[in-house]
Amino acid sequence: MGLIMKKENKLKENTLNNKNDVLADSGKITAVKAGMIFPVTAPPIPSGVMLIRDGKIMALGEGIPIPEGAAVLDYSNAYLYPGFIDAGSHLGVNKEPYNYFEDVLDGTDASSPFAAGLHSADAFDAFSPAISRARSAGITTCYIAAGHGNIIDGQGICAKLRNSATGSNMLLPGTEQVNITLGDLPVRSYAHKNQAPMTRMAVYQMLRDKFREASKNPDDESLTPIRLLLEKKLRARIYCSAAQDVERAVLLGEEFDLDFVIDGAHEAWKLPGFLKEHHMPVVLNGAPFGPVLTQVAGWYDFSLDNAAVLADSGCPLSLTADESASTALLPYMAGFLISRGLSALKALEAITIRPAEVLGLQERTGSLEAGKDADFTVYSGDALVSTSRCLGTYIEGQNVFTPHPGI
Amino acid sequence: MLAIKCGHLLLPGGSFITGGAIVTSRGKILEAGPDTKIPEGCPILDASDKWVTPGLIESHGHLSEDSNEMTAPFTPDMSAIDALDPFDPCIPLIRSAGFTTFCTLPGSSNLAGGTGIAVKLKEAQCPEDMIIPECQPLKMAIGENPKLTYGKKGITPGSRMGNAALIRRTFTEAAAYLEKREKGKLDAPNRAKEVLADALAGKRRVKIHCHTAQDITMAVRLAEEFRLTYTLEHVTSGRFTAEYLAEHQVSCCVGPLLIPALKLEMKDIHPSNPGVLERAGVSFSLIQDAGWDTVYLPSLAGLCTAHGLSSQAALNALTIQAARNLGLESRIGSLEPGKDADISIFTGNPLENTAVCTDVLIDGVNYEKRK
Repeated sequence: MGLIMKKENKLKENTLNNKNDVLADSGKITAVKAGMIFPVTAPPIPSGVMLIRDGKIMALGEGIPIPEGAAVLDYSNAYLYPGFIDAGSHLGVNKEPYNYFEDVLDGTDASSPFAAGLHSADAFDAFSPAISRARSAGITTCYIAAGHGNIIDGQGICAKLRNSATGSNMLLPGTEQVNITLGDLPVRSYAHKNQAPMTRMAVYQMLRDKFREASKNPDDESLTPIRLLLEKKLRARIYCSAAQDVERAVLLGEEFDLDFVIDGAHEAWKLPGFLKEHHMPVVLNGAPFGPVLTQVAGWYDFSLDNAAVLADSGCPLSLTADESASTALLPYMAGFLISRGLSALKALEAITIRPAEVLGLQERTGSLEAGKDADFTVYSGDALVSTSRCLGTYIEGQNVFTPHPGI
Repeated sequence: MLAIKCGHLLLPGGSFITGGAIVTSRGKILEAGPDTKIPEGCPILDASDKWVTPGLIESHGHLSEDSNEMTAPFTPDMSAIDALDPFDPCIPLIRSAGFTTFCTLPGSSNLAGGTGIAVKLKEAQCPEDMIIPECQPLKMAIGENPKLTYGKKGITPGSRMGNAALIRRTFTEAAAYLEKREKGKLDAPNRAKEVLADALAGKRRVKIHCHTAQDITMAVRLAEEFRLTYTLEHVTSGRFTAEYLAEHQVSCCVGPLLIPALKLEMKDIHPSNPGVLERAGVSFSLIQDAGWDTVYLPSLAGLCTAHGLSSQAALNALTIQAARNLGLESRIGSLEPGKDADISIFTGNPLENTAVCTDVLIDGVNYEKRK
């Protein structure tokens, strides 16, 4: 059954690619007309036109003249956004569907708390149904995380959700980051096996010791990713949930002068003053969701006001679904947080330019600006409002999603 | 007495009108509608810039994680009243999203997990002060959960065939018990068999959990064999059996609407599901099947309206149709004279995730009172 499903996905992809041959012609300009354009890094443009060539945005503005011979995508009654970005996804790695009775989550190797040499790219399945779901909600770029559960989970990598049968056509080499988990999660992975780390104290000290070991052994190739972290050539993504661990993680990151971001941060709402002082970029879980996280809700104090508190404290805020199939709910999650006090602008930034910055891709994507990749999505209304419908998603000018007619 | 001046009022049928008012007294609705006049001197709750609906109803949720007795596949005598903690912090959270009635059930590890209860989400020190006693449905489940829970212990059921066979076996024994009961010839009462006998006699509604098309038709087959008064729960792949469900006049509690597909039998979860059921003429409520993330249910219903579900059906699915699925439509689910004064007030259409619930009245008592 699984094999048959995969074949069907492949046929669908080829059909879409054929439709786009016209747009892919080098040098040919496409003009996208929209009722409202949201560049994110500039004010909204009513009755806007965006010109695209060779997968890049050439220009955008109100009433820009459309060059003769240009292809026209007419979304005159619709709202145009940059493609959305999930900076903490497990897309394509968590098996879909995941059978919680039988399956092991493929993104965390529980054989050793230090797995810096493991790559999420090796676990990425380009046929995961969650990927096409994400495209159908306007997601164009995701970070594919390693983790979470080891002190060092491994290296994640970014992906553009292009229509492709192979991961290598989607993954972006050179965008690797190192996933680290601090706090109680590694203890939950190892203590029951009588293996270190068996306490929180051990989690932090083992990481400090590993950093020192890497500095003292420059010829040990297995420690190279850690050395690159210490040299700030690789960014650290530190996943932690409890308030106490958000604090200790920030202090440890500063102790070693890492280039780092805090991920998860479920209890960050408890320490706004500290966060303001340290001005930490945070990639927040956008919606503790579903029965698996309900179990975890007993471990931490969730608050629906978390995002608003973090945004008010001045932390550059990104949202993530921190999952696979629910990546498609990222715009929905951002909109829901507006009802909990997050400003509409910060909510939109949290799924576009802020995650682009976290991933080091802000020159390429995350907003609609001349020179950036033509990654965009169109909605029937405000994309963050639940009742709006995605009408199309494009990556580098290529259509990757069109809704079925009649729905 | 309390009157509510409405900006937008949800009429029976699922459409909002502009304006309108509601008058309540002693916990009941006296009058509600576009032309309702507010009596002189009556205190007024001014919702003239807001959206007013009946209190929302969750027709299938779990207020407790402690609700799966995984020691035997048939435990009909377990009751959700014994799992409920009135001080559970998720209760005020769910209420703050506009929910006033919540049917909390045993889990789905068992073919028959026990009886559920419907509670008003009031402040209370004991479950008895929350419960609507006439609604205590039997929770049943087929599909993966029972066969995987017990199969790995070497106990029937270990397969879908086992699910069906053990249900037939147990209900056949209960039918014999029922016959003896009706003739006054019982040797000794048996609480578990009492519950099943009530279901067979049509005195107790049954909720049957099923996700896949195969399990949907198995559930209907079994329910019709034993002439149960029932609803189907989840119906994740209902869009593949919509005509069948309409033909058999099955009412469904559909959901969860969009969560990660956590098991094989949920792989076809899709927001187009309720819309397809609506177009085929199937009656349904919408459910979250959860505890505190019930807060997302109204706007997830809204998300389904971007995939073919009409807003009327979405709003009905959270109100009157949910009440019908619980057998409580004479008491709750619409703003009509004589019904409980369960009323929720929002800053926008509750189908939109940006709307904030500002007031929740249960039996006329306002629990929220937020700006």
